[in-house]
Amino acid sequence: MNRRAHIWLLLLTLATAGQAAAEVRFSASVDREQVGLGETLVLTLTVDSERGVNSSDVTPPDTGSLQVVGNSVTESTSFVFSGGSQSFRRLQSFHYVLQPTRLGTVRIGPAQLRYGGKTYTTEPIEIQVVRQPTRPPAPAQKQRPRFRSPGGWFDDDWEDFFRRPDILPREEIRPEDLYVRLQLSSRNVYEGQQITAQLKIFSRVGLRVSSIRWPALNDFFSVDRDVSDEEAQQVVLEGRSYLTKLLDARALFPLRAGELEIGPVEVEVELNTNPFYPAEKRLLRTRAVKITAQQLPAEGRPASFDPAHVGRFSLAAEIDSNEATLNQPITLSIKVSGKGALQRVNLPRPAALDKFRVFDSTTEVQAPKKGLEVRGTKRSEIILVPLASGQLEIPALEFSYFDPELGAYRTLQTEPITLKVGASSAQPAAGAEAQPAEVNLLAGSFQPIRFESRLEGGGPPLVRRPFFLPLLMGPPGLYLVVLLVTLFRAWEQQDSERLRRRQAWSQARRQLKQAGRHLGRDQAADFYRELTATLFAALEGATGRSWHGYPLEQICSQLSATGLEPALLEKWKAEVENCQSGRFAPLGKRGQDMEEAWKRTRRLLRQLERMAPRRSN
Amino acid sequence: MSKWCKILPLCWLLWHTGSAGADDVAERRGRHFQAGNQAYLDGDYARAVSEYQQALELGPPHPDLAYNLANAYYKLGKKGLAVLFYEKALRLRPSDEAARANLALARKSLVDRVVNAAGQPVSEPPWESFIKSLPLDGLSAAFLTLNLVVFGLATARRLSRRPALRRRLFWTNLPLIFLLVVVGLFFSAAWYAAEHLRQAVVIAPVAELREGPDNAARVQMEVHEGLKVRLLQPVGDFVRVRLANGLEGYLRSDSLGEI
Repeated sequence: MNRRAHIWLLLLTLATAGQAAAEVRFSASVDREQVGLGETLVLTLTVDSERGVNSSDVTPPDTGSLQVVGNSVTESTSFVFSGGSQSFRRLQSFHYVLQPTRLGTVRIGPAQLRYGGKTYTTEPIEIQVVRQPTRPPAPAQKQRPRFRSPGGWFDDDWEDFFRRPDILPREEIRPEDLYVRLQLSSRNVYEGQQITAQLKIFSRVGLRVSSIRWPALNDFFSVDRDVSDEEAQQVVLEGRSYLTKLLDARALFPLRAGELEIGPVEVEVELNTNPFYPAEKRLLRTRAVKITAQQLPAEGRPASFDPAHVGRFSLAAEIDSNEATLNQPITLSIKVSGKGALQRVNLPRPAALDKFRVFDSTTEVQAPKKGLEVRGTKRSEIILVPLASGQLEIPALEFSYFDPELGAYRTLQTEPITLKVGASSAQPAAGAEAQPAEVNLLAGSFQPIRFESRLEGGGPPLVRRPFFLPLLMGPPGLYLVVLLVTLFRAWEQQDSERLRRRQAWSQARRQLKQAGRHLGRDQAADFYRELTATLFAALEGATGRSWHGYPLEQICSQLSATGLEPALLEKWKAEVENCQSGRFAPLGKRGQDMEEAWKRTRRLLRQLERMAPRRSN
Repeated sequence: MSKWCKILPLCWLLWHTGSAGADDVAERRGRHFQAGNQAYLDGDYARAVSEYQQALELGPPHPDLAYNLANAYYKLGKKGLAVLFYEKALRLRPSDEAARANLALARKSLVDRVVNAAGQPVSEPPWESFIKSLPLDGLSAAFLTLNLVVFGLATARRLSRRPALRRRLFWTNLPLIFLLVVVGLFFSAAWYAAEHLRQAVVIAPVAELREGPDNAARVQMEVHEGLKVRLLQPVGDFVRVRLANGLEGYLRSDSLGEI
């Protein structure tokens, strides 16, 4: 191909492109080909042109039994560079919201467009109208993009809504175009029975929800429900199309019987979501709602019933092991499952656990927030430490509740749990001695009374009994006496002269007494012998030495030199001579003489005795 | 002969009569005790208290009786009286661990917590607790025995004339003398505690601690059942008491039970 041929080919291509740009494209499409009664479908007529068209240039198709419930127009402009030339293209979309009125096949006829003196038409479309809704349900775990804003949530459902054909200009918004409604599951319930309050918004305009304020719900136990997965839906009410969405929901449990009121719920919305313009805020309110809470029936109410137990529940109790050893903790799990205000449920506890040490339990509630009904499980775990060995029993548990659907009380009961407790947890190794386990059998448990007691002993303490002091003082007292006696004896033995004198005096008194006996029997010889011995013993006691065997003259001379009273000495000498005379010649000295001699000797004895201390000093 | 023939049968008769009377009282006491136990088992704690009280009146205080009575009071919810009789049981038998455990349980539910100026809990001084925990009867018996042995050996040594025996007796007695001194110290402390550290428990549900021994005196504070106080001095219908934190005041005598 030569150079001239290439140039012609290029020009031909550019000319074709310019002609194509000058053409208009007109088409019709629907968002679904099958629709259920009550649902809507959107018919879109698209005009792609260089200059754009007026609405009057487009003739809508014949929709047959499909009723047009709304329409809108969207438009966009694009810049096209084609074949070295520049041009603008306008894409206009005419949306028609159609709602079927009868079952069967409906034909949407061709739409017409007049543009540049020419008439363009679209292809007809057939729509199947069925009884069942054809819109698939929203996926349960569908994650939708969300963006946090200071005032609330931006929900992309509303972004879809802006593109709907029935959006209204802001200045034309009437109260019936935008409102919120609180829908209750029931207005007549029992005390403690769940009511589900759903807050829904109905709108024909684009908006953003800034905040939701619930009234004080003092008469209710309130549980929030998670409705974040709820999608906006389009509904037609009284011939008008609304987009509705479940904004919030709460499970309410009346805390008392009587007529209770739920005040208005306030929802603040922003009507302009365009970031370049200030938003208009509107405060929407629901109407106050009154409900009647009936008192729970008194008839058939179990003794163990707790007014918080309203719903439908099941009860289970189990231990983690049926065998344990002393001091080995086991876990008793008590579980109440079902629907109702589980947070308020008081879990039953075993009545008598005297043979266990019971530790504080942990309680948890597992109640998913998804769904409108409050249901789940409340579980309590109690740690028990066996304090006795053998077969121990954890008594049966009882749980009563009121079933509002049946209108009757129900009582659940578990089976008693038997636990086998071994004596010791110590498992001795082979060849090793078993170490006794340390078991604190007392701490934390109430000790029972004593049955076997003879009530003996007791009484006042020993120190307050009468025998205590004598028993206490007796041994030291005895020791003290013995000590004194022995000390005295020792002291005496150290002074032989004093001892000798004392012994002499004792002997003198003894012999005088013996002489008296002889006097009574008139034994003169014996009497005078004893009396003589008395006189010598007395002299020994008085002088500290023995004078036996000494002649009387020598005794007198020696004692005179020591200072003994001469008169007394003479008396002693005369009496000794008298005794010797009487002893060896008793016939003349009997009777009265003996008695006088005894008396004289006794007097002499006393005189010598009195003299003795003076001499010793 | 004829004189002793008359006296001896009379003495036997008197002894037998007295012994039979004592046996009868002991039997009745035992019956009340068992009746109290049965009532306790039946859950009739009020009757158990009545039976135990009658048993108590028929003889000297006994630790088992005081303990069972305390348990019955505990079950009746009379925590003050329960604490009082647990304390009595422990005073009579300091080694009674069951009474100690139940006393600890009873104290957990008491209202009053004695605190110091810094708000810290205060209990009685450790030395006081120690000497009160000493077993007076055991120490008395030990001291009496040691006293007898030590002075007996000393007396024997004093009377002995054999030097070897005297030496042996001395060295045998020396450690016993040391032991006697140690036991004597503890015995004295326990005796002092029994005679001078008189304590009581508030048995009235609420009692007013006043500044003076008069119903018109200002109320310092209210104390509640189960609180243990030291008795200092009786004044008319009141007793001057001291709390564990040192605070003193006057309580009505009838609101207290002496341990």
